[in-house]
Amino acid sequence: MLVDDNEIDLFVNQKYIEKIVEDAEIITFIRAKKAIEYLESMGQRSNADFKFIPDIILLDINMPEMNGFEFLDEFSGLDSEVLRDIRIYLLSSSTNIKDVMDADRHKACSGFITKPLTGERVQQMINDVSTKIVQK
Amino acid sequence: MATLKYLWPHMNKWMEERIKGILETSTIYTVMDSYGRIEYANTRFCELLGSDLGELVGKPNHFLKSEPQDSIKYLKLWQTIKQGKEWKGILVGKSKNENTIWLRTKIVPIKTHNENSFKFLSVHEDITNIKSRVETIKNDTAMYHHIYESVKIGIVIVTDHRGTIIKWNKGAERAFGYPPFDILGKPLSTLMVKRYKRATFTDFLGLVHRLKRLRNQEILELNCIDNNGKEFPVEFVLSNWTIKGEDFYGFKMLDISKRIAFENRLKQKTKELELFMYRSAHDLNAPFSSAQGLINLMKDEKTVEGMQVYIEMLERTIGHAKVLSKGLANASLLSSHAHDSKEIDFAKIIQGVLQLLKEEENFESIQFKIGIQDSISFVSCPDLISTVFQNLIQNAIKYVIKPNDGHTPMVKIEIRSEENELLVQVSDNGKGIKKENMDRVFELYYRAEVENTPGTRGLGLYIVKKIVEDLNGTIKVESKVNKGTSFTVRFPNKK
Repeated sequence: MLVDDNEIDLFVNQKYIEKIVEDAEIITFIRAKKAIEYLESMGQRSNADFKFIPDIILLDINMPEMNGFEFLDEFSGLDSEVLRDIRIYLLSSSTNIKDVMDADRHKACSGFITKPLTGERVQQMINDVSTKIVQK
Repeated sequence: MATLKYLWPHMNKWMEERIKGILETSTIYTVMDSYGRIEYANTRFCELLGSDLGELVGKPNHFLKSEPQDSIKYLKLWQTIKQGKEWKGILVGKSKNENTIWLRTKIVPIKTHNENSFKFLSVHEDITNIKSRVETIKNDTAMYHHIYESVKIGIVIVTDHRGTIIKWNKGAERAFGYPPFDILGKPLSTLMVKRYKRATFTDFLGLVHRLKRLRNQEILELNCIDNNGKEFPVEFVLSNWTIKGEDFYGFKMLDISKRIAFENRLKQKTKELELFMYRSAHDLNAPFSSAQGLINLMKDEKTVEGMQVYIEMLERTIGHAKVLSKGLANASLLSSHAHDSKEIDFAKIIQGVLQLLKEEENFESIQFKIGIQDSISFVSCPDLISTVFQNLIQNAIKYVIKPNDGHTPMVKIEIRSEENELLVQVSDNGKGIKKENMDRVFELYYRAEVENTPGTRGLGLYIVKKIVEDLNGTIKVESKVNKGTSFTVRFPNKK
């Protein structure tokens, strides 16, 4: 899942992911609030229903209405088994040390990535997720 | 020694010599007849006045002469001694060379044996030195009192050991607004704020306790309250002294509310500036990151069509960056100091702004209604006023509801003079602002909703607010969702 208020960045990031993982299933949101609503509804569905739960969320920090950190707070408040394994990475052009530290401290956040996204960085993320799945 | 013999005729020679010796060496005395004329003055009296005995005998003793300012005292003196009673007191006179002499005096009337009248023996003690020292102290005291009374910038309050106010100066009267008879005798805590957040001192005892642990003249802070219940911070030094076993406490205070207010404003401004820097740095960085990402993709792109898509996106990204940097340039207007003030031609400014905004999406569909009151005279900085209009109108255009059957987008600009104010109103019939977002519209980089078109990215209204505040004006927003928004700006109109 990609959450970014800038459509161009959404497009660029999607392209990079598709380059590494050809059959990647990607859902994008330009509003963090809509993304939260989507995840909430997914968490409430029964197993029989259609489900698309992302493995990874790439989340922009500076967005109107609801920013990346507010998203993380909301997400932590969602109480659902199926959402527990989602890894969220903050993706921002900010190199501000405070943002990086805040990201590091937030328990719902798995990492901080500086824009622009690159192929290597996508690969690395996917490796991280796979190792975690194998460990389970 | 004829006189003594005359007074005490039965005295023998030895006694006479002895008494004479004692009187001559250890006292200052004169003998006067019933009219106060000097019959005899001893050597020390003569020396004191710098006169010969011959010059004094037969003349009235001028020490016993009435001084105009003290006539009652002298009247009483004469009444007393003429009744044959002793008089004690202090007399003042002048020596031959005009030096003032103070004498502590005892006048003893002596009844003569053959007449029914009195002679007067007057014994003196020279207290001129003591008196002059007392006079100096008196003058100094008067001077210090005057200085203390006239100090208007500082507050001086004196209390006794219980904290009861026993003295205060004009500065204190002015700062606290109590007349002296209302405050003297009241406890000092009357002037102190009870619940103070930096509650080091809430009462007099706390202060005194602190004083004991203080190094000399350390400056402390305190929140005071005046007669009208207004609170204000003071800086003060506290000192104490003891007179005749009683403790006194002196508070010397300075009202520092102006300085504190200034400090707070400075802190606030610095905080704003820091946030502005941080947000600007980030927002400037964002389009570069996007462009970099796009260029990385372009390197691998094989098809012309694909390339076209990227180029179009790159253009949009650069467009974003340009809008942003323009916004920043506007913001920097705020901090540059030299703003030329001129008579503002509102019609010209608004025409200029509309010309500038012509390329904005939906501009063509909007009906602009401009109402400028005739004979408006307003002097200000044209650049700043133009920026205010640009951002307010741009904002109205951005949140337009697209035209349909029953709806024509409209932006109304009204300028008129009201009492001592200039009123500027920019209203639209667009999307409006949700109630919960109203408080935040002037925040830096606040955007109410996700936009598909690049806007000023949350800078615009922040800049407007800063300009209006800098020009000592106010800005207010009213809005209803899907009905429209109205911004009202008021500037003080300096005549």
